[in-house]
Amino acid sequence: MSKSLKDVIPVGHIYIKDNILEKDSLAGVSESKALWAKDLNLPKKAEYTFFAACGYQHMKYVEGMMGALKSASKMGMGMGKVVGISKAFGKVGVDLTGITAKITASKDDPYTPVLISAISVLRKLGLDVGYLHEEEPCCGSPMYYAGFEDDYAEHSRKNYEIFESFGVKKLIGLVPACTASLRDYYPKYIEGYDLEVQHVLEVVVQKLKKTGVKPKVKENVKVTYHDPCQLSRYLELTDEPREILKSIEGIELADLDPEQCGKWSTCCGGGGLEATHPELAERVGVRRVEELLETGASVIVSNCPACEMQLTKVTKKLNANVKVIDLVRLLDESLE
Amino acid sequence: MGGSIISDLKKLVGKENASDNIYERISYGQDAAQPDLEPEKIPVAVVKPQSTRGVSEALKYANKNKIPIYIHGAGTAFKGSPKPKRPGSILLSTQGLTSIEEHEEDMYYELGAGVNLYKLEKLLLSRGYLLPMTIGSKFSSTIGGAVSINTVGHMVDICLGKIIDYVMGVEVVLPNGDIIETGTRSIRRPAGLDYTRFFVGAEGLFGVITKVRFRVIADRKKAYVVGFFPELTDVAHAFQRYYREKLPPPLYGEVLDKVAAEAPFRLRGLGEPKGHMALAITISYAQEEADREAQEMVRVFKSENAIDAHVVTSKREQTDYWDARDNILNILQASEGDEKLVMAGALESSVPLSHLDDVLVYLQTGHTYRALKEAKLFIYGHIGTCDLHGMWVAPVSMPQAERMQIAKEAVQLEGDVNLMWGCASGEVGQTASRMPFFKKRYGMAAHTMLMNVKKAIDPNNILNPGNLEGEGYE
Amino acid sequence: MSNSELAELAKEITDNVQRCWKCRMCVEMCPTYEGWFTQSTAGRLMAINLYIKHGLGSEEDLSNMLYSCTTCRRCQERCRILSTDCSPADTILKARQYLVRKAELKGERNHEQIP
Repeated sequence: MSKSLKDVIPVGHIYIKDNILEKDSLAGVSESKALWAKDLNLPKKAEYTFFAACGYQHMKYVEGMMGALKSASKMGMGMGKVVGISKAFGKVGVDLTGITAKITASKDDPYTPVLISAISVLRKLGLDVGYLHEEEPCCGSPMYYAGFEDDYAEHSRKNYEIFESFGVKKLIGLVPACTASLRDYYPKYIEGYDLEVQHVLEVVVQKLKKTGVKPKVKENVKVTYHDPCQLSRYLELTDEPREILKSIEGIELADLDPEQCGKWSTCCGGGGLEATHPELAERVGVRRVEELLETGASVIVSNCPACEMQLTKVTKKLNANVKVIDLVRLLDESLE
Repeated sequence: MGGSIISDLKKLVGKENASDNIYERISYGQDAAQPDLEPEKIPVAVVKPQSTRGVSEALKYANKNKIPIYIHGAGTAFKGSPKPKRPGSILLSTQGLTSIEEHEEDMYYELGAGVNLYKLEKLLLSRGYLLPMTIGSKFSSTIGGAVSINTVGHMVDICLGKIIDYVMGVEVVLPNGDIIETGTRSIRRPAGLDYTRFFVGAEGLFGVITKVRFRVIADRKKAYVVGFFPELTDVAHAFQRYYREKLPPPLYGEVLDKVAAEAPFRLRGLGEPKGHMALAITISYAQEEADREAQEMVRVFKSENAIDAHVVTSKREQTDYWDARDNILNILQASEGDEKLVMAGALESSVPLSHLDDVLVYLQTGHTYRALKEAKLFIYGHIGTCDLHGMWVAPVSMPQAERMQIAKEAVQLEGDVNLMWGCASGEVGQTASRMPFFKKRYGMAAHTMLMNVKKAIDPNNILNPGNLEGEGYE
Repeated sequence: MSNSELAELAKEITDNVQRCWKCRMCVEMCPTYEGWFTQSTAGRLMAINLYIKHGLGSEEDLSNMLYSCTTCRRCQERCRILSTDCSPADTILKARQYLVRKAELKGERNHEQIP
């Protein structure tokens, strides 16, 4: 790493880039990769390959990482002032590499169950998918958004070779940013890129229509939907989540003003901003949650790990009497 | 006091409400569509007071030290008014004044000058009122800015009136820092001398509006009409006929030439426009009445050669046409080959009803300006209120000097139109860039009178200096 | 990455900014806007242009502005639907690439000087 890079690029982004390049994981933890799927019997080869991505898998680590970055920035060790990121973490007493707790589906981790639900929903709708397990690479998109275009391009080409070596032709993504990365950015850097990429919600909507299955929740509930930016304005999927919600018996969807939802949805401040401007990210989050609370819904549904982490954190901070739940999990619970 | 300007200002308005960051200073110093800002005219500081008192302190300071001070709402004006004309200035934005007091029992809201128009519109709608103005930049712009220009934007003035008709009074900070109130709390405006009028539409020359007592008006029922015409002049004839038949003025009457309509139509998947597009919205207290007026509009459109004219009932179709019209800048998304387009020159004039057709012809073929003739022209406007716009575009690669020539000729052409037909701008303010025309149109005696008024109220000429003088636009 | 490639990237960025006509409709769209233009898309675009074209302002200030963008693209949608479609969010991303490439280029040079 050159000295001049650290002077202008926020250290959080450099840290994440190094994690991806060295450990092939956003959070720098490769140990717990694919653990969520160990009891699911997912084959490596199938017509459709599920792309789990880093977000839901390592969210617990990411939470710790963001906390550490926040402390680092509070201690004035933001951009240009950090000697070394590990030293910074040492100072604030967080030993990231030392975290080895096994993370599987557990009650205190709301994120990995979303992955299991995604597989479960697809199975209930009659689609069996494959999964690359430990071989699944990190898509590298945080590097793209941080400005490390060359690193991202190289990483994408390496990944494409991995996909090719397993004969992957059709991908089904779950994390919006990673799905957009695989669908819209990889073709810019990979000659002859031929993977067909869909988001799981697109598949679900098609299958719901085809099978005529009628999902149903146990108790009637009023929900509102928070469109993740990457889903609404990158993947341009704003009707699908609403169609799914409306298909569930017992769900009342209370949407915001059209200028605040769908393609005009306000950003919740989750994602990369937390790594560099944690306090601003929190204020952005508060503004968004206040909008969502205006609907009077008792549940905020979304489907992005970064949004869910942010919304959960902010609703707690505001003592709001509202739950944050992933759409895929909600649907899983509503399907027989 | 006696430190640097920025440190003095920070003491006066709070350190988080003043900035000397170069990016802020230039951002605020620039003006939409007229981005050229000479380096020495970059303001030395930007202040955003959070209270009327803060505005007063800043003005007192500027007045005492004879520092020019330029006033912004959101800075969305595009005829040069908020641009600093003199070196070493302070830029003051009233955007921080966002208080809203509801007095529905007396039919008004008391609004801080910085209240955002879109948010205000939303609030009023939720209470069953309508905002009697449609400003193109509403997502950013403020009530203070709109009141200081006195424009209802796209609306037809003779339908619901102009902003002045809704301003029951204002709170104003004078150049010496004194805070005064004007007007009344009654729905009946004061008769005789009502010096509210000194400030509404004065473009910040005499004082800084900090609060607006704004009368509310109950929401109305609407009906939507669209028509497509073979010739632009057909649209002019349609509106001339509509008024000649003594029908009630619509809330909106819009025109968008066929070429201009193409890009926004494509963007919204509407296919090719069938001709030059005209849009109207009729309003009334009762839906049946609004619908009947819309039917009359359709009849009039058809009698003036409309290829197609109908009442638009589908919500989707309404949104599509109106978005296509409201966002005329979409035309810049039409590219010529690989070349992206930029706006080079613009004209806006509100002309006499009987000459709508003559002006349309003149804009297209009547004048002799070379650079304008070579550039691509789009015509649109609020034809129901006789307000026409021309926009000349150029490829992004065109050298700055050529682009400036187009801009200059557009301003000259606008002056010519106003002189020839004895009219004026109805939408975006008369001072700053339009002063050369102003002097020709109204004469030097009128200009001297205004200069004298200005001098009496602002003896040190600290408020927006150079605008009334027409500096930089000679 | 060479100097000329960096210059090419710079041109691509400033050409895009050139199309922004400062209507400022993106300002209120921006989730990080808290009253100052530099906290919004319009301010970021302007700063990019001023820095790259005229060398105004500090690299640290610019970096802080660019990385405080959430890349949510709400501004970009607003610009596409209502204005000149100058791709503000993508331009901010490109400007981040510019900062990285410039820093890397500088790093390489420093490296060359030290045997």
